[in-house]
Amino acid sequence: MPSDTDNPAAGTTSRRDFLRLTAGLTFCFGFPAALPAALAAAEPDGDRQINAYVNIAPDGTVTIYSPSAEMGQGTLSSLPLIVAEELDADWSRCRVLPSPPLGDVYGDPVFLNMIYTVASRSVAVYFDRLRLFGARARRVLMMNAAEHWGVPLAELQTEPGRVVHGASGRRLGYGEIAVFAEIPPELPEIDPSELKSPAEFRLIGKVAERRDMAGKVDGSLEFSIDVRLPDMVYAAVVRPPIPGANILAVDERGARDMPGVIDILRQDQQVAVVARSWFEALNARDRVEVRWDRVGAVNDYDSERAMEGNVAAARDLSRDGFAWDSGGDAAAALNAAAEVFEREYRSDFMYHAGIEPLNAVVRVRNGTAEVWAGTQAPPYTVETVAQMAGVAPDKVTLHRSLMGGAFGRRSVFGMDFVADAAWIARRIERPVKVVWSREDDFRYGHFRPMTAQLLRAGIGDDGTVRGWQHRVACEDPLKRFEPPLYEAWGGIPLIAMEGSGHAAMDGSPWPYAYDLPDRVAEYVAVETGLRIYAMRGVGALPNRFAIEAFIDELAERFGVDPLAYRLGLLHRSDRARAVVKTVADMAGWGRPRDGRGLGLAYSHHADSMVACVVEASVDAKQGRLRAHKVWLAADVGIAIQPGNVVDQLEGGVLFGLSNAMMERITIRDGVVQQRNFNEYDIMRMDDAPSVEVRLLHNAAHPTGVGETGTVVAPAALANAFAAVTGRRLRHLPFTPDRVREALK
Amino acid sequence: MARADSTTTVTLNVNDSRHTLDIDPQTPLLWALRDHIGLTGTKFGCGIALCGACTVHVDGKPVRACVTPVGSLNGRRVVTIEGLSTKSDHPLQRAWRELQVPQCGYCQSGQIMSAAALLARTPKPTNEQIDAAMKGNLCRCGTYGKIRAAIHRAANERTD
Repeated sequence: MPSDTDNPAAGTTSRRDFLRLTAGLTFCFGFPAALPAALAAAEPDGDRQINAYVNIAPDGTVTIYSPSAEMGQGTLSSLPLIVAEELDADWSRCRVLPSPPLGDVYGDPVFLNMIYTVASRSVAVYFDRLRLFGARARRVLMMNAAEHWGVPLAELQTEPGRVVHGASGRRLGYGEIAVFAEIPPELPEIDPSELKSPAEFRLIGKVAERRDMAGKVDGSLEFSIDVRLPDMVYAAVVRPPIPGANILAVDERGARDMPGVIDILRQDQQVAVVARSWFEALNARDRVEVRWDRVGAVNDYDSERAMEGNVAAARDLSRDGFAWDSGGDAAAALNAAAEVFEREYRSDFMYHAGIEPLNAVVRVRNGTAEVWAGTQAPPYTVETVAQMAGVAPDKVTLHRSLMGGAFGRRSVFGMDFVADAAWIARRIERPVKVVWSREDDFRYGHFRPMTAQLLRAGIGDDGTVRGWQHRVACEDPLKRFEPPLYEAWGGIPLIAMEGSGHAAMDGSPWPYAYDLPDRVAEYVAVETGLRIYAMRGVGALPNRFAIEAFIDELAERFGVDPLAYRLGLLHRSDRARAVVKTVADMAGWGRPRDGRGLGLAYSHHADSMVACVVEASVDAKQGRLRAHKVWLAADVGIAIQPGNVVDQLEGGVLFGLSNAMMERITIRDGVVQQRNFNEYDIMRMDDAPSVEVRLLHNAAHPTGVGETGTVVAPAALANAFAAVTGRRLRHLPFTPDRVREALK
Repeated sequence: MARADSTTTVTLNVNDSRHTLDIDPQTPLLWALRDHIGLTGTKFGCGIALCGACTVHVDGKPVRACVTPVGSLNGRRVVTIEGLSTKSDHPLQRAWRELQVPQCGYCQSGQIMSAAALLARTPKPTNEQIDAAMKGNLCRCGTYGKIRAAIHRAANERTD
């Protein structure tokens, strides 16, 4: 998914449109000055809603609304902390609530002003806005204190939670001011120069705690799967095993008289078994027989066979691709080159595997609906419930639940995990909880798309790269699974091509990217009819894997050290070179390891810079690749909560290594072959290397973190394998078969 | 699969409270805890004992509640995350909070219950013993490093 600048060079109308849509919005503060009606109306006894993000109670409790969805990445702590910093609040007196799902007030301009928590963007996109709203709230409190005391505003200061008049020694707590405060209809303007300098930060970079720790260690924290309502029933749903399939016949006779069954309902291509407990619903669902029609080519889809087709498409240079990122004249440079060095890389479908299976609870009554769901995209959730429950969108109340993992799965436009609860609740006229079994979560997954990639580098007489061509054969999920964004952005393959570019969308080079003047990264469109979507790291995971594995092979071809080679290609950016040098120092690059090898990879991602070294060994007989130790250096600008940033980077690395070592979805006759964790395992503790992370501190604007460790790890592992064995792994994941094959 | 007439009365001892349920004895303990008794700290993840999210103690041993029929628990003592300590002050819970282990938090009840069973029988576990005891508990956020560190911290605290 896009960061503000990670988009292709200008060149087509659609990309220029995208530029026009996004440029200038990111730092615009054109938000309504007046309070949203919903908030003003909800103002509890005596509390004052100072602005859309800040509410102050007479006892001094500050409530801060956090726009982003919390799924473990910690934004429920880091975003409010930014508000509290400029508000000069007493953090121990702050409480945090998820914001209402009001896009105009809380949305992300790049995503059509929706609240849409994706693409590692939260801190980066909200930083300026939240500082401003914190500062505006502080100014309102100070103005009121000045009025109250009859002193000039300029004589006032704040200390945590209080306004201070130094000359007279008078103090007023924020809560005391809130009691009499007049909220101006227009919020006071704050010049950016009036915001704190990083040296003045009291909370940013210093508060380590993440919210909700207590509830996460004693079982009391409620996820949507834990919601219990009076009179609630449970449902298990049969859905089309192949996307788009229609029901030919349903035989529910064996299920009707199963214990606990209340009703069996059908709507469109869904059959729901409603029971007094979920376990009973699940058992009864096993007795429902559904016959499906044939949809078309997808019925015959075989992922292993399709991969060969993708490889052929990537290799067929006569087949035009969509130029996602280009500079100079790649074709001429490649034609003129003495040698063209080329390699092919592949990656399989992968599954999100959040540990909380998808679920939602919906209650419909008196023309209104309530939904409890863990969602990355609240506006989609509200729309879906409104439509399926037959109520107006403004009659839908969304209880934004914490998520037991999301990783992209919970932002899909169709909100498939919410829709069923809404129509069932409407029909059954009782609150209903729909829970997907793990098998459902696999079968109805929206997978990271498979890719086949061809990388070609022209080699000049001087031993440098002259001309770079990167072809990615893949199906971009936007077209079928994010129609609003696909339309708004003019049909660009954003998810598939993320990470393949080396320049900003206006064509200007990113200093922190490799200097490849004559280059093209092309999207070679594939269509399947399968359910695919964005997954942590999106296309940047396979694309950076291919690029960084290829860079290592090029270094070998040139007979240069992969570290020195990368530093040379990054000559334009001291910050990028610093992360690479730092990680090399941390790992003791160049020091031989007995029976183990080191692999290096670098990536820019979501405007951050990251370098990773993996130390690995190989058990040739078992085909087993083991990562023992990982070092990671990252420059993410200002770290709001450095400890949390480290945890996100470490978790991101493990996610990427897990993808690379073992995660593979296969599809036969259109049907997902893996049903549970015995057929698709993810990294377990005994496979988890220790990860050492170092942040390069600086005062730059914060940049993305959540996926930054994920995208860089797979190539580092592949390159470590090469260091140990002299052989290359070019197909994600590195299953035992593939490891043994590489060693033949 | 069980029919309606197979529902019977099952008595469970959970966190030292007696619960009498009108339930099919084949019902997994997980669903009895969550949907019948209302203890939702024990989580559903896979349903076939592969992820560890539903780990509870039965007579002090870690078991996967999703594959343990309630009918097999007569006279046995079940402890869930809600009953691990009285004030959320088990050394592991303290260590978990101090080190800020959880990210999304969903798997952590199961992680803590597996770790508590490990410390009960191996007060000072090595990294290898921790891995062996904990590898049945999946964490998709990747908190394994901190889980290991928190187990060591709790183990050291207990003997200090």
